[in-house]
Amino acid sequence: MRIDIQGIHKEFGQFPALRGVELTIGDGELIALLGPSGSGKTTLLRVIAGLERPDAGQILFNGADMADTPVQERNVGFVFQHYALFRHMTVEDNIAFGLAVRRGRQRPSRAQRRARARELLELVQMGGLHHRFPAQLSGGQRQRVALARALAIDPAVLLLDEPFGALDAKVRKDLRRWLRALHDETGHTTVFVTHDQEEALELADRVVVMRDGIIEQIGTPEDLCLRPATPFVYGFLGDTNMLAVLVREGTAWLGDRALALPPAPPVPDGPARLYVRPHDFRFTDDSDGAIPGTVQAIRRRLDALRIEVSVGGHHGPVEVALPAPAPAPEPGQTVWLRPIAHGLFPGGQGVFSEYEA
Amino acid sequence: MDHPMPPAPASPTPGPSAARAFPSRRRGRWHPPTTETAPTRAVLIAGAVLFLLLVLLAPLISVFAEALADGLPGYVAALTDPEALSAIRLTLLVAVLSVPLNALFGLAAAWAIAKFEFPGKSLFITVIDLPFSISPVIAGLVYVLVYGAHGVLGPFLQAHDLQVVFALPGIVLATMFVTVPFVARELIPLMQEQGTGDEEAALSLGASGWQTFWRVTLPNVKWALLYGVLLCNARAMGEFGAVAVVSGRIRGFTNTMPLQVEILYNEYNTVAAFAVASLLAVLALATLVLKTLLEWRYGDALMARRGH
Ligand SMILES: Nc1ncnc2c1ncn2[C@@H]1O[C@H](COP(=O)(O)OP(=O)(O)O)[C@@H](O)[C@H]1O
Ligand SMILES: [Mg+2]
Repeated sequence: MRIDIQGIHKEFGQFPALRGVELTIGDGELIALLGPSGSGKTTLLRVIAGLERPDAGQILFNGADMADTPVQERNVGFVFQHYALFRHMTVEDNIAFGLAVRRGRQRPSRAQRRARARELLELVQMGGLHHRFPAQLSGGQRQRVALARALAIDPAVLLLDEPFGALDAKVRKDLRRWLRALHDETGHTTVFVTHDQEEALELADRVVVMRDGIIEQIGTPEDLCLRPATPFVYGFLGDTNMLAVLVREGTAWLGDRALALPPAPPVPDGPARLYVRPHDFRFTDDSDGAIPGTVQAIRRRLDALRIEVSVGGHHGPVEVALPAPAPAPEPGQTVWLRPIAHGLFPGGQGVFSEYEA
Repeated sequence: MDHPMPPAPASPTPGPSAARAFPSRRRGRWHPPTTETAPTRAVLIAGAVLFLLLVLLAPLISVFAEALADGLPGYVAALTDPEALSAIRLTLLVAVLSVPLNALFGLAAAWAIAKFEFPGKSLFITVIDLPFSISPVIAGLVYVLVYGAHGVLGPFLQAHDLQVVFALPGIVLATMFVTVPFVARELIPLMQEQGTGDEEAALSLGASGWQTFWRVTLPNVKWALLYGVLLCNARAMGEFGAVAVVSGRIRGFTNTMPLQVEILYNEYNTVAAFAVASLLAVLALATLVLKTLLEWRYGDALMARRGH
């Protein structure tokens, strides 16, 4: 099912949780809502489901306005962050709940409901555990029961709020892969919320990056990694260095040095911020257009060397990542840095300081 | 590396004698910091036991001893006395009427408080607790002032031939007043803790409001509800002060068991008084047993707790 999210505003008291969210989700797409805590991801998911009423804007399911359709009739499978399994029901009754509460001819017989529950339990790889109570399951198992319960009503869209948030790293990874396989198999339009960039990039067809109730960027994992659209995305997805530069006639100046940068969209004259990821710096012997610096410290990481280079001015040290076997400079040595990829954004410093390297 | 790890010490695993190799001068006198010394403990425990014996157990035993002072026939005769039977019937009737009403009210109040935001909510919670802090006698008097012959609603009630004070309705009202907090107090923290997550899940799965209430909300609180009803019932049957004021103590008509006990006792009819009292004591013991059973079996479902 196709979902159109148009100009959604939502306030809690005076606090704006969503400020004009526009997003179109294609049929069968797997979308991640990614953003720091408090950015409005859960609120957006709840607005889509009909658990929260937007103050302005529309949600369209296959073109139909959902404003007057209550959550019961939207046919959404919602998996809650803390699962919200019914603690007094067995796993089987939990999964069959959505079928058991149907009315009239819609309601399958007891045997049919049981069969469907067992079938879904197999699908989530928990066959044989139908008689257990939620308290007798591990976190990962509860997660899968919650998913099976949501799938039981044949939802038009599957909404998952931090589906792996409460699980440990190993289980997370397994379930993540498994959810991707399940999605490919069942083809539900799926939206999931996460604050884990790795999870979003690995799992989703497209990632929606949110901050403070607005969408910063929508794109494929490829787009997001290679072409961050805003300084925030640069800072939120992985490590980055930020250098305050001055743009004059299309050239970025760091102090008194004109920088030679790879081709990029032009930026108006004035102060600007140059973002370069640690692994996008190269040491060079050619000082022309490069950034001069002094090696301050070298740190060992699992996959690379991290080299801190002070570049003068009022910047903190710049971080450079070198693939492990490369010959490393010595502390105190003077080096020249050349970015092979970068983001250049107009405007002064300090707007997104909390996410800057 | 500049600082190679020191080689693992080739120490033999310490045997049982190893502990003795260290001086343990204070070993005998050591006790965990949160535990008192043996004499202190003995004094405290003895004090508590003595207190329980004097204040709780001895009176309880004496109730049964006095009731059976004239042997079993005297006991049975005292209980089958028409006035005693009438008091027992009235007490049961009052409980049967007031406890379910309070259970309903408590459930509704807890539901409203836990699941919704509305102005005046904290005032509402405070008002529910009012009967805990008001003397039951005052509560009874208020009902007389409002519903009595010279009360605010007196003329209206008389005009319609409705008797509230000195009759069953007044007794039920007074009993409900003093027992209002019992069910609500059990449910409010539990339902607040459980939040609205389960309900939202049920709704998203297509359940109607009623289905959600019957299949999710109510089962989630059923043991706490039962617990509250149990306490409410014990108090409803045992209430003296408020009922004494509104009942008018008409023997054989508006005397509940506690009132009957007092009247008999004042008439020096000790055996009869304690016979009726023994029934109340049995009720109290049964309540205690059921309550303990609930706490033991469903303790975690009674209390607010995280997740599942
Ligand atoms: N029911 C609510 N009442 C008041 N404020 C809320 C409520 N739900 C969310 N908020 C606020 O809205 C903002 C966005 O919340 P949320 O959507 O839960 O963020 P996220 O899921 O991205 O962490 C937060 O600042 C949060 O405090
Ligand atoms: Mg959230």
